[in-house]
Amino acid sequence: MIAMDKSMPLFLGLILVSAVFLVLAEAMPASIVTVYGKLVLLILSLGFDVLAFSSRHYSQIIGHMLKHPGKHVVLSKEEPYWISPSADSILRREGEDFIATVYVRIPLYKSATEMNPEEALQFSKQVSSMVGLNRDPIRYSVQLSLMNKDTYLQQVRDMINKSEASEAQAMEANSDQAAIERSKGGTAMWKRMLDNASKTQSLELITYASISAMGSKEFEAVSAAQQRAREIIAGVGTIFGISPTFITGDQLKSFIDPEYVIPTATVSEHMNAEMREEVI
Amino acid sequence: MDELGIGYLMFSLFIIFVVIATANTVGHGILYLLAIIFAIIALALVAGMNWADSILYPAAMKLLGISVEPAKGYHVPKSQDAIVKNVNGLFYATGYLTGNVFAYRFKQESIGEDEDQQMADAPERWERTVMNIKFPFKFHIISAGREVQKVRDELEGKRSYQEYQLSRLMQSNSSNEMAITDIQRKIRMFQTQIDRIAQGEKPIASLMYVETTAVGVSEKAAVDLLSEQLRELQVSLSVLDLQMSRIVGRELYTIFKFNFAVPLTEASIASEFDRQG
Repeated sequence: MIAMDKSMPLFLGLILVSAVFLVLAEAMPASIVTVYGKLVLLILSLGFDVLAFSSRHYSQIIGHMLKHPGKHVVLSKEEPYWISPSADSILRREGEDFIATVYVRIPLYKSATEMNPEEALQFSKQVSSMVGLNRDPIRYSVQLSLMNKDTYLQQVRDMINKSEASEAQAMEANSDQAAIERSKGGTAMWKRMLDNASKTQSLELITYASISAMGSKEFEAVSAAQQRAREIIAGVGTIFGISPTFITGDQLKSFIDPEYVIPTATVSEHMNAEMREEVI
Repeated sequence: MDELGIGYLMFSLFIIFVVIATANTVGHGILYLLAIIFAIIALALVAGMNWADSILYPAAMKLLGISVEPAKGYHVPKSQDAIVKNVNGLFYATGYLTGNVFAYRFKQESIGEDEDQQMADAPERWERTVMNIKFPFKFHIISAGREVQKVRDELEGKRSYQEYQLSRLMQSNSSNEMAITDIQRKIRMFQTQIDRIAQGEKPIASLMYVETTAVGVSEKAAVDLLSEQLRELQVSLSVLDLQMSRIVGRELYTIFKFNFAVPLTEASIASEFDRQG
């Protein structure tokens, strides 16, 4: 038996409209005037037929376009996720239910350059065992992201401001030349430091696993996901002899939101540095 | 194709064939010809949406200039190949690649003797690949364990069917060498998989995809840079025997949702496995 699919009501509606146009075209008496009407009805019938078939995968988009014709289709106005009150998972609504997703950091710091062939083979086998660890779907990810230098860059910028202020003070107070030179030297040093920090992008590699579970209440979904994650922690810990940990709080965002994968201030400073270099 | 897809296809084709059969009611001249032409176009569109919607859908959206908002703050441009987020005037474009973990089906025909050597080389090859990539990216594998007996039964069923096909082909007078070789290859492939399970390997279903994000001061700049990064990833990952293709159209929405929730059952990602070979 075919289960009721989400797209089926729209498909049935559109195929019905198509059939109605077809029947009207057939029922219309044939005369010189009505043949054009018949042709239009047949074309409409074919158009709705194609739309009906397309609704199999695109019901949301077609449904929205039929209700609100326009060039901008809004599938959802809701936030795609939110962090659970316990701050150890993210939540998403799926119909009446909730899906919680837990992230587990896998601290693997081994490098292939330090391994002999036997160790490398052993490591590959350990990775294979990890991938086949569980019956439930688990996502294993390796993420290369930009290191967040926002705070560091802000500190350097503050030092530049401080240094410039002291330089101006020294000049106003008609201090001796050596003091002015010292201030100028300090400012130049901090500016060079900002330049260097902005020019090079520092990348970090993180390995993590994520697993989801559904529940009719938020806490149900969270505790089910936590339970599954604990199984992964135990399994991965045994395979590699390491201690995977839960990722919590705002750290979760660095695996989901693009602006945390590439921190805004860090990348802006880098773009400015590139632009300055191009101008020069 | 699943039962539901077959049902949709049959209903849609029925309407088109009725139109073709009754097109003569509009006369026998140019109007009849027009009706037949439109019916053929509809037939081509239905076939296209069934077998090549990843080409047809983005083309239609581009032609109509339609953009989609899949969730608050996110936006899919009309080219349907990226997810864009505007954060304080900076545009973050994210795109995806998917591919087959075992790119070459021939590899499944025999358990290679140099498999251990390949596995021993893998960590270094991976490390060298990652070292050459100078922009953020994510490499994901979603895996789910499968029931050993069920998989074994499925494989044995498939092997038996191929054996039956082979015996029929051998008995027929017009034996086609190419077809026989192809069937024999398939039988070897299924047999190898059965052998692997017999040796204690656990069957798993897996879905692999790669994600990268590019930043730009305008949407176009970000999407252009993203395309460049994706091309670079395709080249870099080819060292690992991975054939990657860019995700466009409806699969983009599916993968985008994976960001916020991993699929819950093996069945829920089954349609994605089809694409992975």
